[in-house]
Amino acid sequence: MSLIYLDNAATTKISQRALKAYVGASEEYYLNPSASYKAARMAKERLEEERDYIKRALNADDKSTIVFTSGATESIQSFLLPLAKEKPGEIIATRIEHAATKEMLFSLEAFGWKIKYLKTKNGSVDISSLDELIGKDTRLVLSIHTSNANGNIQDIKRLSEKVRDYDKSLKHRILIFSDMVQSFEKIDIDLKNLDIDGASFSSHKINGPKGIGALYIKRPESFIPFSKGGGQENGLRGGTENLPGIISFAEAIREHEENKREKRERAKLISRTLREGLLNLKARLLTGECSSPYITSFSYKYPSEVTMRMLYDKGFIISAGSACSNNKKGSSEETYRALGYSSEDAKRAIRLSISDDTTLEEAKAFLKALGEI
Amino acid sequence: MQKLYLIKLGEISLKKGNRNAFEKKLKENIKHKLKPYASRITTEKGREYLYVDSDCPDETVEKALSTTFGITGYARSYISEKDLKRIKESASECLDNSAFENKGSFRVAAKRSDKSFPLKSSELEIELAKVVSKRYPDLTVDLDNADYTLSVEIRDKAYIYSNDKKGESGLPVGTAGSGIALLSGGIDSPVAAYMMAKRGMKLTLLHFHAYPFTSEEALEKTKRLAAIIAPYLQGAKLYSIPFLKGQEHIKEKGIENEATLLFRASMMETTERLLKMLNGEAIVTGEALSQVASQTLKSMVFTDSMCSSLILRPLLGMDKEEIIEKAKRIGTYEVSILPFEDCCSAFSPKHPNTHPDLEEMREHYKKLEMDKYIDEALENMSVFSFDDKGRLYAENN
Repeated sequence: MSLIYLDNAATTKISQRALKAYVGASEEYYLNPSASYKAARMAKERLEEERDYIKRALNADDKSTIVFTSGATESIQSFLLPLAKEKPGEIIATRIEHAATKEMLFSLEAFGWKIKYLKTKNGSVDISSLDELIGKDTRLVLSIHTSNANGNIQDIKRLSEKVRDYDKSLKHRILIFSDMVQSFEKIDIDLKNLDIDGASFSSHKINGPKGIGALYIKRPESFIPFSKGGGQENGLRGGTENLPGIISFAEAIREHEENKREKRERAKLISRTLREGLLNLKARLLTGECSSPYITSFSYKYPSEVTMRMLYDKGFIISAGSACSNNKKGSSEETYRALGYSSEDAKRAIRLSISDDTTLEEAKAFLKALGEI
Repeated sequence: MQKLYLIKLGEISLKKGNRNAFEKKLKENIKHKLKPYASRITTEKGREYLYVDSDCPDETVEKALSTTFGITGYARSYISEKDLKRIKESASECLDNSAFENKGSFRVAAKRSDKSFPLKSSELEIELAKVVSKRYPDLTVDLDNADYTLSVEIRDKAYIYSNDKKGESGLPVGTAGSGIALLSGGIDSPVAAYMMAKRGMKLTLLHFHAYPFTSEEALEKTKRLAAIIAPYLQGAKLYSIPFLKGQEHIKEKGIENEATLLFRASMMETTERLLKMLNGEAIVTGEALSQVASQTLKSMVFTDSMCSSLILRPLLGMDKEEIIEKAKRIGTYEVSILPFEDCCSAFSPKHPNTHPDLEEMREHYKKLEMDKYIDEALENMSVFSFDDKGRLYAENN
């Protein structure tokens, strides 16, 4: 039985183009980009080309930089961990962050940082609740962009405007960080316009290879990295650069950028079909209007993992919102609770995440199968 | 050349008329567990002497003897001619493979049944103590509470061995009839199966699942538990029965707060049917009195009344802590606590009835007419066969 894959928010299949680029780069650019001989310079040049390309794709500030990491988890850690060495202050965060961010916040708490949480409303972060939390001790405000749980998009522009307004009354600039893993190449990102200080990206969520990601740093000159080593990445991340990974990652971005509008329209059509179909089947949608067309969450009549197994047996790979075991609290169940959904909905939550390869027929087949269980 | 192990029997040696039958079964069980290595067991003066093919790794023998019920202790022993020089050489070899370390205290215990041997027991002890002291100069002698003991027995030959390892005691599996032990995947049921096997019962294991309401991992976990206890059980078959339709029927037609009890009654009825097919005599469960709502006395009176077979509940009087301690020792605990429980709250009532009225419940159960669901479940069961080394060697879905 061939399986229809609807869990692309977890990871995606590497595209043929990205794979080819990886193999080609492994053969062509095997020299160490940081070596000093002439032949290595080509590798270094190629690396910088790709960095510039990704900056342009994100419309990043000229003075900003992209640091290549092993993935979004490292990107998040690299941005947050240096705070541990600073005099503790306050961080305003959301309760719907990816586990990588959540865990880092717990670590910073242990270093004396105080974490305050924004409220949620209708499945999204309530940006207006920032007003009650922000203060003279606030040093960092962070929010995930597209929720990995329900696909809703947080209004980072509004968040940033509020913070920048507040900045004026302070002598320092409050940092803003956003995890943009589920937004990248799914919705438009304009970093210049958002005016944020850091963001995380991942390659394997956009049909690139695993083990490579990016950290956006708006002001590299004032960033004190935790990762040290051979001075690579302009001293911002130690370790020999993963050039084949970087080239392949950039190739995956190029592929997504081609015919971008058509692809997004197709994704919207599929998500509309899914969402309407789900409502017809009396499922409760957990994804709102302002959301990525690539993610649709809903709750259905059975506990998540039961629905998941029933549909697996019908040929669909989907993600359960929660694990139905008594010993271990499912973290996504907590996220759905944090988004304001009832415990009943959180226990029955299912996440569908499509890719540009998903077809309308597959979406319809999924709805049919769901209706049969 | 063969390796020799001395085996001590506990309760079996107290048996009178039928001691032979117990010994015969024990020998069979040990020899089967050591296969494919050849072995031979002889009995002399209340001791069992196990000779194993020298190719057989020590760990294999250890694992076999430490999981076979009926053995109270065992020790690797070294045989030599009844000559002091040879005895000393064997003692040295014995020390090579012993737990002795150069710290603490030791003693030598000599026994001389062959009185023609020129040295008295005490003289032999002194000679061998010299061997030990030379090798472990920091060890002190302590005749009452030594950390290590080197023993020598002068019989037809000289037998030298160091500390006995403790066996599991109990009675050989296969000497006390047969039955079915329910295996849920939790902490209690593997311990219950272990305990009845320890008294000699030959057990078949039975697991109920409600896939897709329970996970494949839950079945995998149950299989892992079966593999861990299989050596104690001298091998076992695990039957896995799909009971989702039965559970759904109970949920739909039964009274909500009675659902768990009605389900248990139907499980017992199913088990009893299988027990008859297998010609077994009793059902073993991991229930402990009042541990959960369905394990109150009244609940047990009800489930027992729906089943004419003997139901054995070896954990009935135990606290959870005591059960956990045993599970840890057997090695099932770490697997039992993995988070793939037979979860689904979908079928358990929020406020279960803990004091059911016997006659009323029996009526309610009869009305459910579970027969066809039980037939269907039995027709669709899977069988996994584990050998006495804990290896899955056959499955039949």
